[in-house]
Amino acid sequence: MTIVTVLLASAVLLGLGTWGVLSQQSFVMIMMGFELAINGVMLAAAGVWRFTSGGEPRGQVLVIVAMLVMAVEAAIGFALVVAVYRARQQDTTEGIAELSR
Amino acid sequence: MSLWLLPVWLLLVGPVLGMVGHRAAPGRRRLVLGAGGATALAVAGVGSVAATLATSTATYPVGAGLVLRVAAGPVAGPVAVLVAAIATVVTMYAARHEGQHEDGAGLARLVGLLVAFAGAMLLVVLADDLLTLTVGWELVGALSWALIGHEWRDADAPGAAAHAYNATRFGGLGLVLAAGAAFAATGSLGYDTLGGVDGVALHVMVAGVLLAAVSKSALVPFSPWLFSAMAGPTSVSALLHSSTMVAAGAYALIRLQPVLDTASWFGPVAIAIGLVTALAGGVVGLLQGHAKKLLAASTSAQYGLMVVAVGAGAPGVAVLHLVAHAVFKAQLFLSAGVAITAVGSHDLARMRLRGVLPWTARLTLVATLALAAVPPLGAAFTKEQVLAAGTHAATWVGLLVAVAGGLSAAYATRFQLLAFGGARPDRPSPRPLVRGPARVELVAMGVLAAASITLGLLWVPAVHEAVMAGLGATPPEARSWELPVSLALVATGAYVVWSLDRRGRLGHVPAGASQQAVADWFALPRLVRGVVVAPTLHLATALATVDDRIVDAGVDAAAGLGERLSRVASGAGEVTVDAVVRGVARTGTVLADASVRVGERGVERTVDGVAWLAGRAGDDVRRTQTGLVHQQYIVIAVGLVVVLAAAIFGR
Amino acid sequence: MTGLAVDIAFWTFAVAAAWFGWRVFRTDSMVRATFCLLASFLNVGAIMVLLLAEYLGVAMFFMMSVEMVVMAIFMVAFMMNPAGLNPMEMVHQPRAAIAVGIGAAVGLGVVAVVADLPPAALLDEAGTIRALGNELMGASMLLMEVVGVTLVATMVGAVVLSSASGRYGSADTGSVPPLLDPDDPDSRPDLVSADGEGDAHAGHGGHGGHGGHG
Repeated sequence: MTIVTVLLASAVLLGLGTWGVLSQQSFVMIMMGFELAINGVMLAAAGVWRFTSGGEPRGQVLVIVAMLVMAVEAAIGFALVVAVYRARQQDTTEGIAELSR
Repeated sequence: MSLWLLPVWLLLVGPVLGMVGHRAAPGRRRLVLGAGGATALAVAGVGSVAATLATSTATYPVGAGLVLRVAAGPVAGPVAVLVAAIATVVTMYAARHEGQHEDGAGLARLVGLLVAFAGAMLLVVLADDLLTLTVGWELVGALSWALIGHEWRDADAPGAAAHAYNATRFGGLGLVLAAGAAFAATGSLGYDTLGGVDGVALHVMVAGVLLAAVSKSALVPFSPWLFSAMAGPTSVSALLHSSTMVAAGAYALIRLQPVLDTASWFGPVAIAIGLVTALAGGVVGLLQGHAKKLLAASTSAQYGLMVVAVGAGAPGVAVLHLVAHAVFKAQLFLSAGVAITAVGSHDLARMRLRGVLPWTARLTLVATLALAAVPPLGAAFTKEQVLAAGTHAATWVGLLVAVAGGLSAAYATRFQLLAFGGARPDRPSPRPLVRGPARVELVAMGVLAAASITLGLLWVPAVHEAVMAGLGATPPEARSWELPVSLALVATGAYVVWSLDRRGRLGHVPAGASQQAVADWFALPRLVRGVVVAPTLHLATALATVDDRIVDAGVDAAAGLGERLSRVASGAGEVTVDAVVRGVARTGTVLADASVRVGERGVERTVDGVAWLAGRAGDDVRRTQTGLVHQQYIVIAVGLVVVLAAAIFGR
Repeated sequence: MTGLAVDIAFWTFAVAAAWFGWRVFRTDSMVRATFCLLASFLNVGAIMVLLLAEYLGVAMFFMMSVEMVVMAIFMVAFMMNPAGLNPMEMVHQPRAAIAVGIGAAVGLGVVAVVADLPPAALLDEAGTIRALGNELMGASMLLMEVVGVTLVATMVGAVVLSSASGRYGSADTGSVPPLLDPDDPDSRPDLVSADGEGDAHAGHGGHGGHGGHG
């Protein structure tokens, strides 16, 4: 377990998450993709803290901020899903294209 | 092992291969020739690598104090490897590709000549004195004549071969002149002693080498011979345009740059010739309707860029661009050959072959992106380096190089869309397929495409610093505005052509007579015929007549002639002075009128063009507004990659 | 734990995290997908414990367990196939997505391998939790305050966005501006655009009601 292996693992998780976000139609599944990508980000941050910071605790604070992002994303995301569903009966990205030209 | 073996081996094996192939059973001829030629060239390639690693040299005294010398130095070695490698791939392709519409004996002659041709080019590359260079130079010229005129039963081929040979042969005189000047000044011809040449001899030598290089590299005003050279088989073009023949001119300038640079006028003249060729070649490429001639125009333009780099004092950069260009241009010609065979015509109007030749189209896309100088391909890096070198000479030089880059992106897009674009309902439908590519041909294109992609490693700072150090050069310091400006011009050039095509307005062939003339190198061939060829013939006839009369009528006639001449001259004197004054006045008026008209129309067209471009771009940007989140995520992801790449590599 | 044991554990957890992450998008059952994601998170949490960030690792366990259970509820609510009884595939632009995903992973992997990261090992391996606690309650107090306020704003925002009724009526008909004069019903500001929006949404609502009956 070195900095390189930890970062490689996090890169794989982030790639999987990106793939999920881009390929899934359902809003809920897209959010799961985002969560997986943030999972990779947190792992990378923890790894960099562990191997290059010399014990500086602010590195862990960065991970906590990433967790905050994830919590906000989940809460607001689900609220938006509920709001969109209530207004449009839609739960896929194809269903809402109001911003098209 | 003596370094002489490298070129001599190929020069000997070529004829032998031709004879063996001639005797081989017709069924096995392609295999024998392809495998034999590729093996011979691959051996030369391995030999070049070994010679480069050992930096070996060899000499051969020919008496009278003259010594022929070859050396695999830091520049010569890698270029020799390049020549052998490209020739190997092209020969492999040639044995298969030309074998299908060529009777057996012709194929044997072709492959034999190709191998020998590569040997002659190796002699040019490895030469370490002007005499060896001249010998190789003439061998290359003579063999190119035989290769271009290969299909001698065609009506055009012999004439075209003669055109190419005479044009480059005329330039070759410059090399002889340069050798003479150098020998007169220092009593030696070695590259290492050329630094001692000065005074008039220096100017003669520099002018001679420049003339030779300009003619060989098909720069303005010698560019049209390259169009004549298109009469040769496609594989010949692929070799001629990438790493041999045309490359010889730029290569001679690169090798001799330290000496040439001591003449103060060399840099500006080289930059001017290079820029004019690069810009003119771009315009020609945008109008040509002949698949191979489009590529030929782009060859001239790209060599123009190399000469700009040499003129700006960065020969190392020119070597890199030479290598990158050789790889993608060879592949483009191989692709063009496949397309031409597939539809049985040179005409770009009837191709659009993506549907029927999907793999050729994909592989060609790599080469066209390299020609358009799109990062992260290596050709983009070398073009940026040329731009940086040009900016070192003067900012406007760099800007014009960027404009030439935009033009090359435009004609590269044009080639890709017309030759390998998808079929369009509003266009003439593609001709029925005559024949698809064989596996060997695909492999040859694939190898070159892979090489183009591998050159992308040059973007990594550690790699290009190491390569430049290996070439004994320092990379020019790039300004921060260069990359964005040149990428913007590349994008604009490609976009304009793509946008025209999408609206069904991309011309296949020049529309009017004036465009046709521009597409044919700005009517340069006609001009040359009128200004150089015809007067020379007249002069020769006149001289012959004078000669006859003198011989026939002896001294009396000579006296009579002199008398008559003097009478004519005195009479003409008065009339002439008058006429000249009036003529000058009239010319001035005409020129002023013309410039006013051209200026007005130019400004108007520029404004209209910019407005049109902005309008079209706005329309197309609107098309991306799909309102669909998942498509916008992709845009965001790609944008992030670009930003990160800029942060990592931009520095 | 010795170095070898840590290595074996790390690789096990890392491969498991990636494998579960992959299964999230390849399983038919939505509930199963949620629990695959949870498993991926738990494996990453375990790696964090191995990385001596015990506080973060344990926080991951708790936080993700709760979040994924909530997510499972939403899955059951919104997806038509929570139990995976029928095979299903709800994807778009699959090839572009795979290309971008692989590109992202490979690109970051190359950066990870090539980048020159200066190593600086932990000075006090046993005291990381104490150091983090001091940091959170000391120097980073302001940051944690911001985190707290953000979470409160998130809660309020989530409730506002998802609630069926707003302050001035049904949430999806838009808000109606208050009367300028409380006693005069005609003093309500007349916002044409708001009325137009309201009509459009009413149409959608009717459509939805129709779907409900069917």
